[in-house]
Amino acid sequence: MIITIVCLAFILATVAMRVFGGRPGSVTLLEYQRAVLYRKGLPVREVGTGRHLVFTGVEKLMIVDTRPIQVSYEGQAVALRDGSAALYGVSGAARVQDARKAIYAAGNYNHVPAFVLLCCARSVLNNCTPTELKAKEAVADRIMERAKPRLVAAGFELLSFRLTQFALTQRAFE
Amino acid sequence: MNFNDVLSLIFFPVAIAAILFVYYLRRFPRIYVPDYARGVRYVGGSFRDVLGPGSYQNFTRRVQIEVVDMRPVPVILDRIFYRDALQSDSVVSLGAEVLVDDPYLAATSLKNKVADSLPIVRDTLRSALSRGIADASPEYRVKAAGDITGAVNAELKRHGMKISNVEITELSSRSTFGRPAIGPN
Repeated sequence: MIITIVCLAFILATVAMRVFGGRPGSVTLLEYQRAVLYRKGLPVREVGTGRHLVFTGVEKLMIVDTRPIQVSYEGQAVALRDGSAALYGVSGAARVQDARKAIYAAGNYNHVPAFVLLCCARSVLNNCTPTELKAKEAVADRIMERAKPRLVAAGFELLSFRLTQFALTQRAFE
Repeated sequence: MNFNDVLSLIFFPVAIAAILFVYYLRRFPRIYVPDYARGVRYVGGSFRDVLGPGSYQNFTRRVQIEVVDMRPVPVILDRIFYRDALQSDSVVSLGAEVLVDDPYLAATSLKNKVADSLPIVRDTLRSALSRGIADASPEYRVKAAGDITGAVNAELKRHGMKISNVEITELSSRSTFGRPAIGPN
């Protein structure tokens, strides 16, 4: 009789858990992954490398890859301050430093470094004259100065940046 | 009939019913809505309500939940040509964030929320900028960014979308294009 009651209780508990809770499972994070544990839709804590117990259905791990995200764009055009134009290319790398900020920064956090670097590069170059652009390293430094705080605010760390291609043209409408 | 017999009679139907119920639920996976998303719930094909963060279990096929991501999507609009109020050819580039304002409207009026918003953004910013005189000064950029945000949001609101953090990264007009940038050599 006791065995029957225990079996019945176990079955009913399983059903209740399936309906109201979830079932226990585990997620293993690799050494280059970080995650934020969400419980009932709200962030609870950040977790690192290793195996983590997760109640599927109630809890969810939002995993973030911390390997560097490479950015490379060639053949971009920009009008300079005096109305002439320049062709340029940018190359850089950034990685996630704060998983929680990165998750909220954009629908796809992988797009953030490219967006910030392209915006900053174009913005700085548009404010330069051809004479100023002769000091290519100084211009790259100005772009990095502008991009770094924006990336940090989005949970990223800028690893490298350089202007790969640079050429002045005469007409901005090309 | 004693208690043991009653228990035995109950046990098998309950056990079978429970197993069938759990098996039935397997066809309806839980819908997980994180705090950066909303769930748009339809019952029998009609909109019912917007769900906040949480975990939701459906029990019938009549209920459908569409998860709408509310996080911003960064977009770059490169080299958009337009004519300003003085009919000078001008070019503008900007970076902005497109995000969902009303999950129900966005889910029901746009197939691809961001991609379908971009033509509206492009057209509206062109018409907003063509009402002014293009000027590369920082003050004008800030003012133009505000004007673009207001005009574009008025259009996108009908589709449940909005833009924010508009940054004009490039602005130039024809009056300066004609001059050669580099010397004759």
